[in-house]
Amino acid sequence: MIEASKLFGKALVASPERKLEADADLAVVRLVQAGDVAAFDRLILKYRERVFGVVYHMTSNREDAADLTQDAFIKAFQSIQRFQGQSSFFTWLYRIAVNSTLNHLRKNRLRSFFSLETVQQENAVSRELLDALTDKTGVDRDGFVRELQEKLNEAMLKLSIPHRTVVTLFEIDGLSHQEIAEIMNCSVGTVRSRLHYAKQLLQAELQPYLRR
Amino acid sequence: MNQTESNDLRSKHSVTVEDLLKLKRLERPSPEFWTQFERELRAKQLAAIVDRRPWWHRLSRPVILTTRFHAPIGAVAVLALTWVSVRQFDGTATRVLAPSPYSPSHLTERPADETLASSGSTSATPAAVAARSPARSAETLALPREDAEPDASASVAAAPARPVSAVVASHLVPAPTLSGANSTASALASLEANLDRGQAASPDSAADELFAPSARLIATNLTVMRDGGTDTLHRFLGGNQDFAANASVGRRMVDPMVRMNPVSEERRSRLLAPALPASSAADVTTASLAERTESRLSSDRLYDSVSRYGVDGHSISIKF
Repeated sequence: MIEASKLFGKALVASPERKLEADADLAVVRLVQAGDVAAFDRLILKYRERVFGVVYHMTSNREDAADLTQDAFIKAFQSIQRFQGQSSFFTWLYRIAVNSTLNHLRKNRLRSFFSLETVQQENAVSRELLDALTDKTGVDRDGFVRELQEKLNEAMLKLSIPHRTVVTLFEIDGLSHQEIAEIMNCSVGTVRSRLHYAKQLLQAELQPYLRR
Repeated sequence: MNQTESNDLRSKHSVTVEDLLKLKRLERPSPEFWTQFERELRAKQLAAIVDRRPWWHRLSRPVILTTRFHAPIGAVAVLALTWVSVRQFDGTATRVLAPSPYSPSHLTERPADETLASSGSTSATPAAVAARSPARSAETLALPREDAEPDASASVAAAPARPVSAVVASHLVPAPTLSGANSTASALASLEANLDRGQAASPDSAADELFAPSARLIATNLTVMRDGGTDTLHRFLGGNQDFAANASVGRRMVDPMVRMNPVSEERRSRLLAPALPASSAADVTTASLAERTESRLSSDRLYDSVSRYGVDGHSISIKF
């Protein structure tokens, strides 16, 4: 437990919750490294939605995102003996997933089509958000949400891959600049710069849906 | 997203890019998706466990572990390559610039064995020529070397007023720019004049004081070569000239037409007949036409018309 906290001082400045989370992950990783293969399932269950979310928002394709997420977990499982705890397992896993996705996007630069998930409108939080975004109700709201979702994904796909990655990790997944910098292997300034530029582009693309 | 964020959105009455991007967080797969996802992941995980990784994966691990040393190792390799290249380049440049047949180092440091080994080549070095000279003797032709004669080196060091290089340079002609036999003749005359002047001005006893032993040996060798015959001296001076100088001296003036491939008389007359003003009658035989054509073609005219004829292997092309 103490080991990961010490190492975090060098890797990135994280919140106490993240430190505790990293310590817990490191303990599970040590079990897997010791031969407890089933312990890896706990890590899969813990991170599969977040990893899938990052990959999905980068690709805008649910099938590709599922395959890439599975591949990321397989790669992590195969390479877990090499994980030395210099960063948190969460960062390490994200880096694997992001790199796999970047390779996939570069290979299939010309082939990109949507395969979108359904926007969850049932829960209260979603309703509140949609109420704030539109005054429409009923079928009109569903159509508006569908249209806005497509426009959002189109605008995201118009961004370059690094810019799209930064927007996904910061705005959608909620990571800090330092965490993104570590995952993308670049400086914090680069992350901020990319984020600023990407937001400008998105604002230009989504101008009809913005309200001032 | 919590209740506070939704209240903020509603209270702001403005929608920003960040608000729109929050909508993407709501794109979540259904629980059935995760069931299938887990099933597929399990199958892939089992396949990864069963499948043996290729052998080069094991080799790649040390490479990955030494990743941090790649940059320093690469930099050291580049520096080493640069150093070796520069060193080799300097050596090549020195070798190119050094060999002048009149340079003191060439005369004094070239071992006799090496010159004997290369005596069969067409470019005769001075030592090689001296070795072939009939009047040579082992004592007079022995070229001084630093390891062979420490006394000579000592005496050279003891004569600061006139170093060996200055003495030898006074006996030698500067490295020729050499454009033919005139340069060779002038160099030969200058060398002989210097040699005679040195001998006349200083008898043997005085020469011993004035000149270093190595310079005296060089002078002796030159004297022997001169006595051995002008031909030897000419070869000595002319042996290492450049190719153009040798070629210009040795080449005879040759009529360019002689160099052309011989063409049969019949073909020549047939080809040249239309180019000449004389008309060829139909009943004239080829042999007589050839005779007439040859008789009308003076050598000067034929020489002038060479530029219009091109010889290429088995054919002659005529430009009109």
